[in-house]
Amino acid sequence: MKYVAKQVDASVNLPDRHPLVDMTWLLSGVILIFVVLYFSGGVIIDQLARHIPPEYDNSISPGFTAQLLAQFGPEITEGEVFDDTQALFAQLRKLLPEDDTREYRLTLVDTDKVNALALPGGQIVVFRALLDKAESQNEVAMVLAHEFGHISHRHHWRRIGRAVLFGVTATFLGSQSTLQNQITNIPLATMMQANSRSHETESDSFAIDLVCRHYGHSGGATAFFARNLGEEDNTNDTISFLLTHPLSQERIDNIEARAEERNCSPGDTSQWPYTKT
Amino acid sequence: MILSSLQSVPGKTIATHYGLVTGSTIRAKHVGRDLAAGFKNIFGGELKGYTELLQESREEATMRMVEQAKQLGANAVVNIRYATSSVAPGAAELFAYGTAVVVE
Amino acid sequence: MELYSALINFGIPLVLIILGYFMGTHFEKRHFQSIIIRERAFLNKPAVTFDESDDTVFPLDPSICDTRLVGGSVVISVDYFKRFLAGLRGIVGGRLTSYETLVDRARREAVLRMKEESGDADRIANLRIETSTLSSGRGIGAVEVHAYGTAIYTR
Repeated sequence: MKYVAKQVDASVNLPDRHPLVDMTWLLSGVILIFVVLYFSGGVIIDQLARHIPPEYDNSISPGFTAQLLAQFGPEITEGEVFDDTQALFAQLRKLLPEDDTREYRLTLVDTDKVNALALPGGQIVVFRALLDKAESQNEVAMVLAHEFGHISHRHHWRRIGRAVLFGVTATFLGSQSTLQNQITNIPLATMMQANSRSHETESDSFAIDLVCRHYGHSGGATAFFARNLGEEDNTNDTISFLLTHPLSQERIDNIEARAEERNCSPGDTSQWPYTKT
Repeated sequence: MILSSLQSVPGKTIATHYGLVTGSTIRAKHVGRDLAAGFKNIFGGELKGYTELLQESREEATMRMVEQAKQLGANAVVNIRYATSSVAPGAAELFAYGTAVVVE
Repeated sequence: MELYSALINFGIPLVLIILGYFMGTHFEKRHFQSIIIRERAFLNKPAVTFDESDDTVFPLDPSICDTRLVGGSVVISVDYFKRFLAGLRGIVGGRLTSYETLVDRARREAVLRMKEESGDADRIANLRIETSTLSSGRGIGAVEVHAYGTAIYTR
C-alpha cells in the first residue's frame, strides 16, 4: 500500500457565507419573528381585555388608590377645589354610555406633581398641582374626559397584557443569552412606546367627543398641551407630565382634527372657579 | 464511493491511500423544538426532533467527508469514526473522519 | 437616567460584538494562514485511521523500527461576535456557521500538534479525534480538541 501525498480540500467543512451576511439575515429574521409574535399576541390581548367584566374592575380598584395615596400624599376631601372638580366629574359621568356600569370615582391628591391617571375599575386620580395650573374649566374637563377614555378603552388591561406578552416573548426568544435578550429588546421597547402613544390618541379622541357634548364647543380643549409646549424645559412638573403623555404637538393636531370632524368649533371657555390661595 | 468502518473493504485490497479525510457540521433546531424538548424532559421518551437533527447532521458530515475523498481521487473511505459533541446549547456538532483509499 | 441605563444595556454589548468581530476575524485569519503552511510541510507524514497491527489486512512492514503513542491538543475560545451569532441561530435553527470555523481550526491545529510531537515518524496510524467543550456558566466558553494516534518510525 502506497501513500500519495495530496492536499485535501478543507473548504468543504467551512461556511461559504460571510459571517456579516449571516448576521444580517439572522438579525432581520429574528426581529421579524418578534414583531409578528408581538403584534398577533397584542391583537389577542386587546380582544381578551374587552371581555373582562367591569365588575371585576370594580373589585380590585381600592387597592391601587391606597397605594397611590401612600406614595404621593394625602387625599383632598373638602374645600372649593374638591367641590368644583367633583361636580364637573359627575356631569361628565352622566354623558357616558348607559351600559357602562363601572363605579367611577374621582380622587384628588394633594401633591405638587402635575399629573392625572386612570386606574383599573373606574378610579380616576388627579393631582392638585394640575388643577392649580388649569386656566379654564374646559381644560380640567378635557383631562377628566381623557382619563374616562382610558378606562372605557380598557387601556390598563391592554397595558398589563402587553407587558406580560413582552416579558414572555423576550424570555422565550432570548433564553439563550442575556446579550440576545438585550438586542431583541430594542425593537420591542420601541413598539411598547408606540403602543402607549396610540392609547393616548385613542383617549384624546374619546375626550374631545365627550367635552364637545358637554359644552357644545371645543374651546380650551387643547390649551393644556399648548401651554406645555411653551414651557417644556422650564419646570420639573411639566417634564413629569410630558413623560407619561408624550408628543404634545401631535396630540393637539389630532384633537383639533377630531373636533373639526364633529363640527365642534372653538367657543368661549368657562371660568375655572377654583383659584389658588 | 465505498464507506466502511472496517480496516478495509472485505474482498478487496487497498492499493493507495491519501491520508485523513474529515467532515463536520454544527446544527441547531429552532426554539420551538427546544421548548417541546423541554416538556419532554418532564415525561421522558424519545426526542424525535433531536433524533432527526442528529441524523441529518451525521449525513451532512458524512457527505462532506466523501466530498474531500472524491477530490483526492479515492474510491473508498475506510475505518470511519463518528464523534458528537455539544458546542453550544441546543446545537449538535457531528464529526466524521476516516482514511481515503483506492481499493482494487 | 434612562439614557445611561440604555447606554450600558445596549452600548456595551454592541462594542463587544464589534470588537469581537474585528479581533476574532484577525486572529482566525492568522491562525488559518499558519495552519495551511504547516499542513503543507507535514503533507508527507500522513495520519490515518486504520490499525496497522491488523496483519490480516496489512502485511507486516519490515522497515518499522519503533512505535509510540503521540497526541496533540488545543483549546480555542469563541469570540463575542461568534457567540452572538450562535445565539441568534439558536432561535431560527440551522447551521451554526460561526462555530464551524472554530471547530475546524481547533481540529486541524490538534492534528498538526500531534504530528509535530511525533518527531521524525514516517506516519501516524489509528488516529482518533475527540472534541469537548469547556463552558463556564452560560453557553460555550471554548472548544477543546484532542488528537491522538500511534506514530510509526521506519528505518
